[in-house]
Amino acid sequence: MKKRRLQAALLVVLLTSLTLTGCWDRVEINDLAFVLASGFDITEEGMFRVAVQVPLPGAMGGAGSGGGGGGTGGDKSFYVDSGIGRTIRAANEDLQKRMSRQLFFAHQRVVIVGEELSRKGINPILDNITRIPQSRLTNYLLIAKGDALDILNADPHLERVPAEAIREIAKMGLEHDLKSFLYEYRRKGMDPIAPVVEVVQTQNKAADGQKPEVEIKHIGIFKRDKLQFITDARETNGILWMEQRMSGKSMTFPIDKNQDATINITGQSFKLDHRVHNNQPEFLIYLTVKGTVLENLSHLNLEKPQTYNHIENVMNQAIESQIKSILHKTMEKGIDTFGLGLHLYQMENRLWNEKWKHRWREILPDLRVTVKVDSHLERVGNVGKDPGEEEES
Amino acid sequence: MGLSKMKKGTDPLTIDQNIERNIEKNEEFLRALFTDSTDLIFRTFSIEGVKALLVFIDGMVDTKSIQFHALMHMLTRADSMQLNLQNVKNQMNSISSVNETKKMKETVSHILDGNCILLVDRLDHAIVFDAKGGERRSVSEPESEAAIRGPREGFTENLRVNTSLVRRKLKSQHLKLKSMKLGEHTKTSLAIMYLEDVASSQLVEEVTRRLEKVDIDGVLESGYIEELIEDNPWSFFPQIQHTERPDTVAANLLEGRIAILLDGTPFALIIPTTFWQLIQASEDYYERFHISIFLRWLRLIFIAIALFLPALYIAVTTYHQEMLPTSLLLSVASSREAIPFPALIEALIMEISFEALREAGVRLPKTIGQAVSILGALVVGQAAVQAGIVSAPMVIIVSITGIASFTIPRFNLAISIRLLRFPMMILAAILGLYGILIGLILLTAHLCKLRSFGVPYLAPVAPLTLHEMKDIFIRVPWWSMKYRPKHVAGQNLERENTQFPSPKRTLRSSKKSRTKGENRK
Repeated sequence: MKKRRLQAALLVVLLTSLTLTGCWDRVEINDLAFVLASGFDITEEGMFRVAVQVPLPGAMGGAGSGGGGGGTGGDKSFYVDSGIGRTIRAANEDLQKRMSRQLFFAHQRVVIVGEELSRKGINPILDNITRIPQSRLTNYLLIAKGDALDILNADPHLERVPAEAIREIAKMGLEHDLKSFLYEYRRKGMDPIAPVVEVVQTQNKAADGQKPEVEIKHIGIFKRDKLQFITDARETNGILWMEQRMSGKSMTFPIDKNQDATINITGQSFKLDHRVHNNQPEFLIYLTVKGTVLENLSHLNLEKPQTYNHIENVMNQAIESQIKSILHKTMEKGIDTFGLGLHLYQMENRLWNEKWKHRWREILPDLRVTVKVDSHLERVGNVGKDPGEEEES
Repeated sequence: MGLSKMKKGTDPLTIDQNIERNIEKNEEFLRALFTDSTDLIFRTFSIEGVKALLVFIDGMVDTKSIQFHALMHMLTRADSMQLNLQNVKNQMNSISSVNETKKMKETVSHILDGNCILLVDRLDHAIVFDAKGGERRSVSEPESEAAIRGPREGFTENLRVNTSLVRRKLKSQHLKLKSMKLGEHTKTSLAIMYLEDVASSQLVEEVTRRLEKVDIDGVLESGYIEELIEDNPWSFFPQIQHTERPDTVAANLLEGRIAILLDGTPFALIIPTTFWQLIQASEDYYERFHISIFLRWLRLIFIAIALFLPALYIAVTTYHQEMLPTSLLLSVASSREAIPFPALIEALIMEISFEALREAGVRLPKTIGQAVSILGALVVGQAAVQAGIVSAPMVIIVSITGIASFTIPRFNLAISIRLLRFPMMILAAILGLYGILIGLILLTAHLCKLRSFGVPYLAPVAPLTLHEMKDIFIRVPWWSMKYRPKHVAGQNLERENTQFPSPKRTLRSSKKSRTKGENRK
């Protein structure tokens, strides 16, 4: 009986110590500010300016919030503010002093780094993001053309929050997240890349049609953690070929006297091979591409095998030149965007360690790289010939 | 019932005398015993000048059969016969079941049982006519266990009718029926039914032993017995299944279980019971096995939902915000924007008002019950959300939880789950997912510890018996249900010897498929 009573007392003490200590970690959803996107810039004094984009749940039109309406008309459904500090954390703390809700980074989906800061090196940002457990490696790391803050202020129309729009666009393009960036960055014999996001105006002739939208069109090329240059359209395509991200996209090139055709790429494979010649590596890049015709402005009859072969040849050359343009440009600058060094580290480990590793960036400009493209047109669409051509009787 | 009035009289059980030859004395004694019992009828008449007396309780006796089969015979045919015990018992009536007794004690208990007593002057025996009758509810569809496919008959309040319903399904001489009376005042008869060649004799002994230990003034429902004989009286979980369906009883008897049928209630008890039994419905065995398998999994999932969903919601929204997909989180956040309460309080408000709504609806007449549910749906659902007192996701959570608890086929298990939801919610509010996990571990440990008449509550999953899993998470087709559950049935484990019901394969069929067919046997 006495034992029973003791047990009961013990249970009561345990339960009360659980419930009454008041040190619960409980945080209600409405006490948190969910940072969906962060933007990092550097000020003229060399301080970090960290901007966050936080959605306003009250303005998102949920039931019971009383607001309704959604984000398009009137007030924005998100809020952007920035803080300044000697470190990124310090800048966050600076910002926190202005916010009634606690900054919460677990739902951050996009990290945007301003162009200037990128050129100075983004290692501090990588440190900040990877150090706290709240952040995810599936974040998209993007470079802003200009200031990152301007990107966060753009107001894309198709999504409720710009971060969502930026993420979706980034996913459709290179699909290059923080994890890939870190992989490329931390590997010997490889340099990272990151998509470039910029603000453009809506192309609409109506008077109120000019609204800022975000666009991802180019790619930033890094040497270690420093941004070197931003690609143009041709070079971007070259990277997409090398990263095998062209499937589902299309390419346009002249096939007959400056008359263009658009080919939809349905599949591609990529193989990097090497050969050691006189203790000097040589590379062979071999690409097979499958495509279907989406549009044909020339009057060539696509039903004929000769035309077929002709288009395939033109296509081979077009792809080859796209790849070569970026390949040569990076190699000349001693940047190993495509991991040629990594390939040697894996395949020729001894030679790599003994001969090439230490002066890889000096060797790089003089390497011979052969690009070989093998294209196949699989379908020409519903009409083979030019639809304007009269029927042969 | 007149029985309740008897408390005023002398306790009839203490009378230990024999019946007098003098009928006047006997009548005087009985009238004194049953004072203030106006439902007791004394009908005096005379057979050839000899005084006789019929005693019975009005309403419990089939008066017509007494009238035609006893009274009329005795009044008309008595003239040619000598008036002795044998003649009265065997020739002067046409009632199917007639007994005699010498003891006054037995006589009284026969009267109370609803039998009719005949006392004749100069005979030291009472003759007992079994003419039980009176108004009883007829066999009707079991309301608490309706089935789309399956027998439509359910037990009634009459024990004899109930045993006969089972007997009609199991026409076997091995179906045994032990009788017993429980309750000092109610003297409720009960029947322990089992199949002698299947049920373990130890189990029968154990059940009998536990029932004999019961000493209580009255047993009005099988729930009394359930609480008096179960293994772990403190547990939240029902360790004895009850059913209103004779086919369920028969099916369980065939698996080697024991049924206790009780007079005065349509609910029979089934012993031993495992957890899995409580999430199976009789229809699982009547419909095609595919749907049974699907439904069993559905029920399992929804039991988990009924138990954990509100707790999970609380844990995730107050501790683990990073676990929700962003857009879902924003939706939840936007609908919670105007809510003044923390998630736990919000959940408790909703859950408790839902339980209140259910409790209010259960006992009301059907017409008013509908009004309550409309009111509840409007007030608790719509208005509370619009007024910003509870958030819309919480209403969804509570409704799903409510629906989930209705998918559990056995009401008594559903009650346990409903109750356990609240400690889970509190654990989640204190410790988040960690708390839910602690709750789950405690719950599992408890379930593993439970026994129902020596059978582990989670058998055959814990302890694991692989070859008995054919009727737990899945229900194999009947042609494959070769053996009885070993953890229950004591003997005679083989259940059927039907072959795989498919026409013999022709010569064309490959050798491979033939061996396959043989394997299935």
